[in-house]
Amino acid sequence: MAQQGQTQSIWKVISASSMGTLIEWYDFYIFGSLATIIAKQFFPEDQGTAALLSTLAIFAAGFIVRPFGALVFGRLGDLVGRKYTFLLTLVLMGGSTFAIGLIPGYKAIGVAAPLLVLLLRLIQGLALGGEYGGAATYVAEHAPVGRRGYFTSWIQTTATLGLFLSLGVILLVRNTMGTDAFGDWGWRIPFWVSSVLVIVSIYIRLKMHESPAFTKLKKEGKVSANPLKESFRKKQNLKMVLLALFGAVMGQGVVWYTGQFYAQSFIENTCKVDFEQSRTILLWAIVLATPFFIVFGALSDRIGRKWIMMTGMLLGVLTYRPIYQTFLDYTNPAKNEAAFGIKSTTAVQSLMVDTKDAKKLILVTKADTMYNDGSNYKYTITDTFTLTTPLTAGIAAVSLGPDVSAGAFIKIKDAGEGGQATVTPESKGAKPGVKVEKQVGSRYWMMILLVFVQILYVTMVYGPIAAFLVELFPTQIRYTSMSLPYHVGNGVFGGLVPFLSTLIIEYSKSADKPAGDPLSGLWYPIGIAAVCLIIGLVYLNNKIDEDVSDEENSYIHPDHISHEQKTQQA
Amino acid sequence: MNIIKKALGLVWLLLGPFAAYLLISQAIKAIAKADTVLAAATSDKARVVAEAAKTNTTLQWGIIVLIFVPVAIGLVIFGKYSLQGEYDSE
Repeated sequence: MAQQGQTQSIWKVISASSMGTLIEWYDFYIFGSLATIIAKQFFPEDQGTAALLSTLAIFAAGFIVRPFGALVFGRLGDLVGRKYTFLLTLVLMGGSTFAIGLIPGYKAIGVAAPLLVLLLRLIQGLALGGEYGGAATYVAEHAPVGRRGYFTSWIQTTATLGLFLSLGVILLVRNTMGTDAFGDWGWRIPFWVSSVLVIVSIYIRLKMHESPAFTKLKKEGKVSANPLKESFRKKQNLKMVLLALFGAVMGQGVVWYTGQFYAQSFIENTCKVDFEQSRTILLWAIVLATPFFIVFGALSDRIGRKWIMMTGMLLGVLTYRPIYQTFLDYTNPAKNEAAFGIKSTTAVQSLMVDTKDAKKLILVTKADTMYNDGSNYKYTITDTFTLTTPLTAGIAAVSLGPDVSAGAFIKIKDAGEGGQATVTPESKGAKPGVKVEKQVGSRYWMMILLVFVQILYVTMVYGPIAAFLVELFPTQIRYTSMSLPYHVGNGVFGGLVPFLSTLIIEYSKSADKPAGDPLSGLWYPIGIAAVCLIIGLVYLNNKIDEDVSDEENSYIHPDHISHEQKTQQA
Repeated sequence: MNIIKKALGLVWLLLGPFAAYLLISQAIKAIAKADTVLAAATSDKARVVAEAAKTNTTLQWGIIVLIFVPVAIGLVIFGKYSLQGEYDSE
């Protein structure tokens, strides 16, 4: 009966913590998922200051403010308690998200718009930095002995489900109201949706009690006086913070970002799969893989946390390049033609005079190829030509087609007095505008499978990590100590995957390969995961700390006794 | 295993400064490249875009260096602790 009561109570704890954390991730991701629209509304490229603020909003929120939030709220959580701290982070996150949805665009209020967005985005980063450590600690300190991995794994599902929810809400709103209305004002709705979710979550969290471990500590007057100093100035604890960062969280961060964000971005921007399919592929993969957070969390209670996390990293290191090569192969027109054959091809060309310059002609070629497996590749090529003589009254007649032997490419009859003008191939602009949009056919589910496999790695590295981090640190300074390595590993190492991968692709460009090697960007996550794997394999132990209430007030794992302590013991 | 931990400690000790050097040199290279683009800009519009790009590049790399240098120092400390046997198993 008592066991049943405890189980019911832990489920309340899990639902209250998970819902709030899920909403925080949702809030953080909708900004990223709507980055293109937000940039248009608030950060126009031709406005120097606004573009600068955009960079600050993207980089500073993820890389500086998140770890800073971990320190600020971690300290608060170790001083006043977990419950009130992660209630505060939820209010801050929900409030700032709702407010972003209310800010008028750059056209309406000028530079004040991007400034306000930047400020609110920084508050979001700060709140996120404080949320996760609190929620994970809160659940872990309630979890029964021997099931900490299982119960904390519910918290671990929230980051991925937050991403799922953000993509789902965006797709739903966009499809309901249409692309134009969505780009105009509908993008604000996902921000407003957050407020409803936050109010419900705050209500639930207010009803919760403080964690038993922290309550006990408070009663005994053993609450840390200076959690920051104790976390990072004491060697016994600092070495555990460093071990957590370099031996686990750093690798987890890159595996997490590669398996979800980078996969979606690669499919959309490198493979040129259309907006909707590139997102539904990720959504399906998330739905299918999410239960494995629980599976691996529970498994870690039986076999330990270390080997599950290390296996996830190893598989990522070994298979990322073959997986991404397969993405390229599946969306390669020549390979698709060889595999399935072409069902139909249409090509339409249209010619118009540039409204800004009467000497310029714009030739738009639209090609649409359907393959027998249902794939559809669309190309739009926009070429610009310079006329030998300007048209006086627009185009009267056009004869298209390459007639290079006669020295003319396109013959145009002027509607006015100008007679006939010709356009030669030499007058063609150097860089045509090329837009490619592909829809995957029968290989759609294979693409989902490949993203699913990557998210499976995510579940292996991420499912057990909350329990692993909680067990590494004592109650007095747990919130502070686990939050910082988590947000440096996840936010900084993981968050830099898109930036550093793009940079590596830039460096791979050469005269032979002007577009560079699209797979070279994977060397960043592979390299970081490999270093983390080595450190984890050599330095981490696989023991599970059964008691996180610190009955003996131990700061360190039995296998990691400090040099001084060993000397003292001797 | 303890010998391997100590030997690897030296690797982490050296990897920290190397990573910091690599990062800072890349930052300098990227900012210099943005400077070249700005100098080559001919029209007013191109100059505005190039100026924004240069400021963004400087800011991006500034933030990355600012956050990664302490991480590199952390790696050095991790290496030092490894060498001192702080992570040795009993």
